[in-house]
Amino acid sequence: MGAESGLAERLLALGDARDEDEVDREQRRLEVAKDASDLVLQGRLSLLHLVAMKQTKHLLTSDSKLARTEGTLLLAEVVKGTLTVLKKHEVDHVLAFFCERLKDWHTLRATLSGCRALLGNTEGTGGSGGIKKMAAGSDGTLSVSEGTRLTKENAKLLARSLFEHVDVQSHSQPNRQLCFEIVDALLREPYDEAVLELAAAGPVASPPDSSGSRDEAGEDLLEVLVRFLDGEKDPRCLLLAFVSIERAVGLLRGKGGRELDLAVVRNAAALADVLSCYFPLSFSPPKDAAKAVTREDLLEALFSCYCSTPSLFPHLIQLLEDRFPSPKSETKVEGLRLLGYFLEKFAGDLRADYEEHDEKKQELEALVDQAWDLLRAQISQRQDTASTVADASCDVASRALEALGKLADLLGPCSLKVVDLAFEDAEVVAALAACASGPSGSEDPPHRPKSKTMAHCRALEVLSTVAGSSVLAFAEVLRRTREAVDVLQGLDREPILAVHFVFKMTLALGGLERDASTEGMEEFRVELPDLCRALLRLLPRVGMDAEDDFRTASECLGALENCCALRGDWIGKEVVEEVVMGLVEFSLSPGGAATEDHGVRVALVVSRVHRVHRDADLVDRVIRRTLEALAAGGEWEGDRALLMLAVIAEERCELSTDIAFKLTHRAVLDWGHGSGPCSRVTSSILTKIGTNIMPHLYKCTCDHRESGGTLKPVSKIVQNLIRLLERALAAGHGEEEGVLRNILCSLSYTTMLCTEEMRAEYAAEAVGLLASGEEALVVGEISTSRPAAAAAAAEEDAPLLSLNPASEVAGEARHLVAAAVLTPLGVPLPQGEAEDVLHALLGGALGAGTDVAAGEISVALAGRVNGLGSSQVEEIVVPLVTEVLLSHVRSCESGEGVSSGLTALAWIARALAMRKHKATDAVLDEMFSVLCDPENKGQALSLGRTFSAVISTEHDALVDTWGWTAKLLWRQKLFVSLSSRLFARLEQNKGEPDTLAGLHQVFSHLVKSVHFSVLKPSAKEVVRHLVASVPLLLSRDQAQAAGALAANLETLKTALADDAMRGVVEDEVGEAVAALVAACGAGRHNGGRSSALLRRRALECIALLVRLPHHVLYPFFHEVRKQLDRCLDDDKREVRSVAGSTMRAWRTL
Amino acid sequence: MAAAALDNLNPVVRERENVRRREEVPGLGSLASGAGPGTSAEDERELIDSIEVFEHIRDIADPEHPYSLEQLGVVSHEQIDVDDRGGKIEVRFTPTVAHCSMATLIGLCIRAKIMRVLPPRFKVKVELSKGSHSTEEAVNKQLNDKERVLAALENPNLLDLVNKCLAPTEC
Repeated sequence: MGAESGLAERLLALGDARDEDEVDREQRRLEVAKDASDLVLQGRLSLLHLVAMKQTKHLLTSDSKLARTEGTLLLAEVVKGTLTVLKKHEVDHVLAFFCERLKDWHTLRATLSGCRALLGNTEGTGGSGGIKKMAAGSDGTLSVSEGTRLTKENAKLLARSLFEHVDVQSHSQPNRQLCFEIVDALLREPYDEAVLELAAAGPVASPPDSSGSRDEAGEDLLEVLVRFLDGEKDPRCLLLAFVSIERAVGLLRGKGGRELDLAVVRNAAALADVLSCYFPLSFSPPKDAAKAVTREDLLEALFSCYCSTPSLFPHLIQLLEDRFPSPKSETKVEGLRLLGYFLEKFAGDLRADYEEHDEKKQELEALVDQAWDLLRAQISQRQDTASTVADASCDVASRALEALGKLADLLGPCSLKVVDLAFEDAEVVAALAACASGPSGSEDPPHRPKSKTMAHCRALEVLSTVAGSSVLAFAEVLRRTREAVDVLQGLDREPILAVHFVFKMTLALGGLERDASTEGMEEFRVELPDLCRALLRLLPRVGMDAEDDFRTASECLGALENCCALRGDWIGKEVVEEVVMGLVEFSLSPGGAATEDHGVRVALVVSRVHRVHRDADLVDRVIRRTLEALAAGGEWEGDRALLMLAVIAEERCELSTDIAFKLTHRAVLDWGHGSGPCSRVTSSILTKIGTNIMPHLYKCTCDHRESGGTLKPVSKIVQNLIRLLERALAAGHGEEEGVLRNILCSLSYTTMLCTEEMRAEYAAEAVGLLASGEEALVVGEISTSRPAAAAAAAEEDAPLLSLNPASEVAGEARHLVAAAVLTPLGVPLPQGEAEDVLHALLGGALGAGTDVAAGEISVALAGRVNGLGSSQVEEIVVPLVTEVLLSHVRSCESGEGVSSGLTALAWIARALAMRKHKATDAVLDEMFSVLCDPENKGQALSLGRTFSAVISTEHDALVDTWGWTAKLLWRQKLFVSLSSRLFARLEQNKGEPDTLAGLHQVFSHLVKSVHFSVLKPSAKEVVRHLVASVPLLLSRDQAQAAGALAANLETLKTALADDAMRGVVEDEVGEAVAALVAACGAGRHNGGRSSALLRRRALECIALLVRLPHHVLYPFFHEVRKQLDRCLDDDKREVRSVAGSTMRAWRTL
Repeated sequence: MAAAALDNLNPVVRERENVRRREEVPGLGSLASGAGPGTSAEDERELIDSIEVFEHIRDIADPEHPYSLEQLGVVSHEQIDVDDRGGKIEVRFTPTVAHCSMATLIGLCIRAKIMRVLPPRFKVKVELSKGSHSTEEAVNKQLNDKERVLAALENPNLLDLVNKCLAPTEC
């Protein structure tokens, strides 16, 4: 009893707490409510008992509005907390109380909270996130807990009371939101049926201003909701209201029967009247509220409301007619979007009405007329200027055309009304006349204003849009067009208009091709081959037009593509073949009109034809012809052919392997033809294969593998690649152009493309190659002097990796091939051979002789280290590094040897750091010793770059591709150990500018590799070195140091933007200004884009300097202004633009 | 400002134009070669052209209406001539009405903006387009008198007005 008596006292105190502020009162109330709820939950007190307590009764019935509010809020809280244990009669009583209390204006918020609690436990309804959840809720995302307590009668009572007693719009936002939440909950399961019954029983409420006189006619459900919504401005409430109205209309139409459907029709005007106030929607959500209602949310809800009943169609048309004169294209676009949604949703309903009811037929036809005029006006209004390519009006016009298409779809299957409308259109008639008249007509096309031609094009687009609505309409449009103009003649006379029309019509036909047998289409089908031939003939003539706005050549290609992609019963195989080969000839003819764009387009046509017709012979012919063009040797044809093949390979995965093989074969044949050992064609082929075709093929194969498809053998590609590799190495060439890298990359991908067994065999071969001596590395010989015999041998022995033993460079090739094959993680390493493999790889890396080869093998080596177990690392890797690698680096006298050694060290250190291995620090120390060795100062800059591989982020994608494992925060740990060593080395080598430049290369990658906040603890040193690095790196070779310098300037910029770091810059301001001013003038007249980037970054830093105190900057004012004046006349536009804004910032100083 | 005091109560408002150089238009450059839009030879100078000048002045706010000069059709890139090598810029502008009392201020804003963002080697001429204003000659004379322009920009009240108009171009 002690607890109850304590509760009674606190209840009493709650009523007296008038002087307390709201927060304290709420706190106290919540505590009391919690205690009371606990008692109820424990069964020591029932809810009715609580209400019957003298103190509670006093609170609930007090004359003081504050006490009443407190009491009602308390009751609401208790109900919320005890919902799961309340008994039916308790709920009945409490609800009856709350419903009665809805009349009490002062306690409305508390009462609504109580009602809301009784309706069920909705998650997060208080916040904006909850609103979003509710708004999303056509699938019932409003989660009602198992504690749903209201019976159907109760729900009816609540709905009736709410509709009757609450005048929503006269209350504050929180109250309105609660009301809308309750309405929303009532319109969802399981209460929706109760509300529906209430609506079916008759008017659900009397307006509040009728003083509750029941004899007056009340309102129906929709009317009440419209009244609730009318005047609402809060976005959260609006969203709820829109959703509720849509739901209510859906309920009334779906489950309500004829009577209630009529109620919707009756209220459509009022609903449209209120909804029209919200279109166009002007609402910009506050920037800080991430989860708040967005404009798009509101717009979608509004659109859903409009699209809730077909009865709103006339009102919607009226709305658009009212709003379209707006100068804002956004309004038009949104209006057209709304119309599009509406027509899409209700096409069936409207069409059914049209067919069944005569009076509705006339009504709808009038509306279609009205809509037609509206849309036509929007399509015609598009502005055209020569230099304007994409403006908002284009969007309006395309939306209008889309809507027009839907309007045509609406009546398409049952009426030709829209076709009539189209042919009554003056612009359409004029366009057809222009098309028919040609140059002999009144308007000579060369002298016809461009705008007029564009207007004609749009009119013809209207025609094709209408034709696309149904096969009936298409046939009718064809018939009437034929009466006005002969299209085949039109193509000669007036190609711009005729081609545009044909293109659009063939596009429209795409959706209707299943109905080929329809009357009226037969004639068109017969004409199709002639049309294709005419277009093909026209193509070289209009090719040069591709750069103007009409894009006739592209449309011509598009029309041919559409024709070729039609089904077999429309177009014969031989016609398709003729067209495709014609197109290929067109795009490959040197000196012709075909642009690169056209080449790509033709390749796409080939791919599409292959997809539709599956004609392997045709594609073979195309590839053969393209390869012939590639072999012909002309630069132009070669590039074009390669581009086309790459596009086809990318589009059609099943052709990629074949294309890749043929291209590598071509590259082998072409090697040595041309000015250098690696001909231009070979180099281009290898680039395309390495960077486009193979990665794409790998991706496709992965998808294919998941779907259980089979893979084609790729050993022939491997053989070709190995022969190319040998030749590249023999020629000692290819690093600059990336030939070697492309070959290795292709080789890696090719290995990954194989089946599991083949890959295992490759891996075994690779290990064998590594372990073998140079003389014994041949698996199968391919002699270039006897290709036929070699091919036969290849068939018999099927050698997987074949190297030419006669080659002088077989040793290096051996390592590179093995590295490329072993690089991907997917390739298993034979058990027990890890040590041999690692030793052999390291041997390869150290003996590679070139940086690229050393880098490649080192990556493979690091990949293998990453895949080893901990004990293997201890037993194999650590001795390998200390005994072999380090002793090599120390004893090595040549610069190349040191460089290769450091490359291997950097990659192994990276692999160890990713595992957070304790040996990492020792390796880092050794690496620093190498870098700072006075003997290596000549190549310190490049050594610095090599060193950076240990932490650089630019290799992350590479590592991710191979699925290397890394421990959490490995980079941060490496940063700590690396930065302390680096700063110490920077101090030690102050007098050695060469070594410093190398160290700054590492520093640049180091600061870039971690999040800026990680730098803050060592801010002073970081900033000092950043500033010092600028003049140092500027004085070095531009190309080598530019990357590091740009990265350092970027970090400096971030530091200047940071309030805490800026103070540190202030201490170094003299050096910083001098360095930045120098960087602003870096390579102004000869450095190209990379130096432009440097200048831009330096200017951005200078702009941020103005945040430093005025007195600090004042001494440098004139120096900076002078430099900025020079930058305003920089060679590059981007620099000038930044210089302008920097100047502005300094002007305000 | 009261509506009655406006020179043009109901100006025609245009949409912001998407002006691009020919080489920046997709499709007009190369599609698949990997050359991105706007690519020009690395070491070549990108000349200051009419579009660059237009980019600087298009967003200047009209002194009377809450629109930019471009939206009101006062400036357009066709009305700008630039000779980068010769160091000459000529900007013509068209007030919305022939009796616009703000023509001088608009011209001053254009000139001030150009002076601030372009190198001083350019000789800048800002004038009304032919026949667009009732006092065309007088306004042109004022706008191209260097002394007067500098004096005007030293007047704090006038400078404040000019800065207000230029504010949208500087964000």
